[in-house]
Amino acid sequence: MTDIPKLRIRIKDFRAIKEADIILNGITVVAGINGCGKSSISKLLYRTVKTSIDFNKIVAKNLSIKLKDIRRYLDELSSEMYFLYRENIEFKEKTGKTEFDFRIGASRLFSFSDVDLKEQENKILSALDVFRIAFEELPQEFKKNERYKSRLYRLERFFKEEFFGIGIDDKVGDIPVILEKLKENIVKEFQDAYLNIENRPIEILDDIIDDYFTEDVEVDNFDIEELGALITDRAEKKLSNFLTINKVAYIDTPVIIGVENIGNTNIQHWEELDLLLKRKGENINKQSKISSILKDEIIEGESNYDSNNDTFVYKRKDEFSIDLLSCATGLKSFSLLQILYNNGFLDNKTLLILDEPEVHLHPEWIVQYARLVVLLHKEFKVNFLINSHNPDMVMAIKFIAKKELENDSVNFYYAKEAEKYSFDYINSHDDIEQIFGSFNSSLDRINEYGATEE
Amino acid sequence: MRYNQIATESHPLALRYPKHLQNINAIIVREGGMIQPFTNEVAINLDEAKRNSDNTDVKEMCSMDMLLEISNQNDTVLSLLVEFKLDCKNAQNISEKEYRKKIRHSKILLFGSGIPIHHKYVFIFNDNLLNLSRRIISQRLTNAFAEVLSIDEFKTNYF
Repeated sequence: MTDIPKLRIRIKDFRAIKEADIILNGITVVAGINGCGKSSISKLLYRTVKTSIDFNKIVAKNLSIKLKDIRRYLDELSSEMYFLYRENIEFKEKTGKTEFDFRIGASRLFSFSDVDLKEQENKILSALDVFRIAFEELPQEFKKNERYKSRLYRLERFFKEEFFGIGIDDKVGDIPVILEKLKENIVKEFQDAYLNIENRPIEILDDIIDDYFTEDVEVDNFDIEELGALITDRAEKKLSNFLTINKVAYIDTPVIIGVENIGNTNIQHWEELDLLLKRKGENINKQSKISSILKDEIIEGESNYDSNNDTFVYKRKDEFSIDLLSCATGLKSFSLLQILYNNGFLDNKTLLILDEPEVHLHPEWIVQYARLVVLLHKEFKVNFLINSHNPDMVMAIKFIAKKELENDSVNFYYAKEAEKYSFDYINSHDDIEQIFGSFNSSLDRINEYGATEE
Repeated sequence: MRYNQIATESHPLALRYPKHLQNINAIIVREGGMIQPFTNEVAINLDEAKRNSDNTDVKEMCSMDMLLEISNQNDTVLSLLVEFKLDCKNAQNISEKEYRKKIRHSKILLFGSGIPIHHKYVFIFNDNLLNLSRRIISQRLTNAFAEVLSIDEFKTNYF
């Protein structure tokens, strides 16, 4: 059973990929020409692992979206209640709720990040009771006042139609009745969410994959296995938890580091990477060989996130300090690794997906980057999927890994055109000869212009 | 340009050292080659000619392995230098210095023959290291004068 790979992704007829069966047992390098589908493999793997890890948060977020209209109703209602309280000093004194502000309560209630859903459900239902009681306690003469009556009627009518599809003549009841019925809706939505957390339905992943790619894709044309077991279990319609991976990052460009308002780009993996770079944490192995290579040999300094000023700062060995945003792009590539290393993100349960990491790097730094990748796997068992079409990167990983690692932890794949615009991915294990067959077409092109005399 | 047997046989070195004019298949066998696709074609075993020279300076030179003559339809004749690397197990061992030296020394050896040397120098590798070697040699020797071929490609390109 020891030959069963840690992770395996199988893809068939997905964008430019005709067939791929890629295993990850440490460092996996996928090579191929532009447009052969390398990034699609990365994105499928990343999005699946990320969805599996964040599954409960995603369910909570979806629930929050579903309850958006109810929250809107409560926001409106609380605003009205606040207005009524403010206007009616006598009533305030009667209820003793002089400092109560409904407006603050509602926004907190529907914030679902990292919370216990059951606790949140109870809070929302209690809040609805508070609203109902507060409304019931309003003096009758107050409710009959024309000025307030019209305001409440607007709310009542609009939300009856919104939630229950009932017209003006079908009297459901007034606001307390609506609130009771909303409670039923809320309970049902929470029940669905609890079931989703328990059953982990794969449709949630399918929807995410569908959104992630800009054109129509066949969302179920791939599967991921971990230690021989299906994580994307389509027969059981379930997306399981990964046991060997609990952190994942997808890095397709270093230029996003330090860019303000990354959320406005609508590129999800950039937002997610930005959050990882800003996460708080400390690496207990900060004085390691890797740390020294980065700090002393390569970038000759240290890059950090300054949370007080929300900027990334590069501090050179000679104490010169500069905003990382205006540094060389190659330096950003290494800074990114350094920050993730220093904040403790990189360990044996991390999957780092690197899309053409050699871009922006001088050939010498390409080799240094490859060296870091191999050492991160050797020292901390960080898992890598790397896309590349750079001869130096592929060659450096091959030869450095040969010296530093066990043979079976590195796998090379190359994309072979099966038909026009459609590629099969071939496992060449630790052999890069076939990959170079493709790379060398550039040499043939150069040679077309004639050899030069030595 | 293609192999010219008559020109090869009448090269000044072949005339002076006829025993070093050898069957190409035999040279390949001695260099560790597993396939012998040639028939009666001959070439000058430059390595052997150098080793058997009376001149100690020449003996110590580091030349290419084989020399043959090629010509085109206009009867322009050129000397083609060939190096066998069939025993190479690791492409990392390709040394830029060694290759440059081989080319330089071969040119010194052939100086005065009256026949110009072809601007491409052929390095023959086994199929399993061909592409990697091609890339490494091309990068390390900078110019595109080094041509990395398999035995079969060598035959197809020049015969």
